[in-house]
Amino acid sequence: MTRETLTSPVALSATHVSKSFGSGPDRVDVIEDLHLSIRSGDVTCLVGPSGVGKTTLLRLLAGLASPTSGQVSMDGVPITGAVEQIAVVFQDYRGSLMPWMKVLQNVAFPLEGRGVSKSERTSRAAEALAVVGLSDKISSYPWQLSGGMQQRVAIARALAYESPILLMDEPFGSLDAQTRFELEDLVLQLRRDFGITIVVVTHDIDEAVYLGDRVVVVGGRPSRIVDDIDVPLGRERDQITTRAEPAFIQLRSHVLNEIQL
Amino acid sequence: MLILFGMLALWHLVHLSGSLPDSLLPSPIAVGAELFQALLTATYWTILWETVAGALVGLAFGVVVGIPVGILTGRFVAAELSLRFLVDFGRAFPAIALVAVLVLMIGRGIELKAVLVFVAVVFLIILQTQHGVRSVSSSIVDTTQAFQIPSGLFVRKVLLPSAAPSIMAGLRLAASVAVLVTISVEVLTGSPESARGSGTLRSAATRSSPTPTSSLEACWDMRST
Repeated sequence: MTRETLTSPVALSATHVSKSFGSGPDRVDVIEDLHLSIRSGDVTCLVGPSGVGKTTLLRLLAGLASPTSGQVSMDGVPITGAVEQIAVVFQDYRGSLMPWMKVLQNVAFPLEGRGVSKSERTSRAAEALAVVGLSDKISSYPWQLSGGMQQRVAIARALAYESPILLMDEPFGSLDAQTRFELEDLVLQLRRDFGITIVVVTHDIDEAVYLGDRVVVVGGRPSRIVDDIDVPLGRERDQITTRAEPAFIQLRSHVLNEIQL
Repeated sequence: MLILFGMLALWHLVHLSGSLPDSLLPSPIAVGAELFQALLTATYWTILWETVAGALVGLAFGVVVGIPVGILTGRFVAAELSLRFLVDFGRAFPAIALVAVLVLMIGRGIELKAVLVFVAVVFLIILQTQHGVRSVSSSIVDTTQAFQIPSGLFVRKVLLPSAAPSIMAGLRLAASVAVLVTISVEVLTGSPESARGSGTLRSAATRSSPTPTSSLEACWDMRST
């Protein structure tokens, strides 16, 4: 697959970003004066307790919401709306796939909006489905698949879009542990094989440490960045050995401690 | 099925008992024979078609106007707010009440039926479409936004399929309302005319327009011959 590459070492950045909802006495400040730079080629995990505004932060980075003040920029260019270079995988896979389209059509659909020819759409979608291991399910409907497979379809859809940046919002939150492990490894495989810059929002500390080259701990009300840690585990990870490493265990306790503060 | 036969049997028994005069309640057999004869005449079918055509034309306009307006008002709050009064007023308004005025304006032909059917169904279709459009899940809207799906494609491949169950429910209701309104219009505008003419054999073919023709009238004619 051909994929646009980013020229700058910083893929996405948020500068002085604040976001509040409502106005007057009902005003809720969710994020206040937040700085964050996502490095190209990294898997960056944003971890924090539920309700801390992680999803809001991801929506800001994706251009799906605009900050009350401050700026989000990609490759140095300010973002004011959704852009081609960013693909998103949502938490609610059941709701984000179109139940009236077959798996292949679901994956190819975003390309139709970009004016890609039908034959190319189909081949790109089939290729992406092969990467996520669903070649035999292309003519099924999403509701005929298990939750894990549906989330794979959503990942394939993002992959077929061929964006250099992939944002994932609690992608595996509602899956069983076994399936979650498989999909975590799929994410690492995408980074390794395609060099995609990936941002994962999660409340699962183990997942954040296992996936991340970098773990950003978000907390407080309004949200700010509590800690920003480079994960010293190398790029090759394994569900059994990595999770048993002393560095893994130490880091996970460290993050847990910060979240509980 | 059993109930239907039961009703027919009851009807036949009442007829046999002779408690009602023959002209008021003929036997089911006589009615059946009459119906069968009517089915063989061109007049019957012509007249039936006039009723159906009135309902269909009105319904078609209702769909052509109702679905786009429903999509618009379902998606844009401003459009919904500016049309809300009209829609609320329209859906509660009995279309049949317009018969008297419209007869004077456009006569008693198919136009009258079509216009009244349109008035009766369009608000129903608007509301059902609106409801369907609003029930599109926010995850799907987010997804199409993130992947920058252009609005034309969004309406065609996301909004319409997603709203289809609700729209179809609206069309089903609208279809029965359409037939109901057409027949009501025919009763209100046609029946007195034919009542006066009952006893004379008339065929639809010899009638000069704009005299209304209707299936009900046809039944009346058949009975009186």
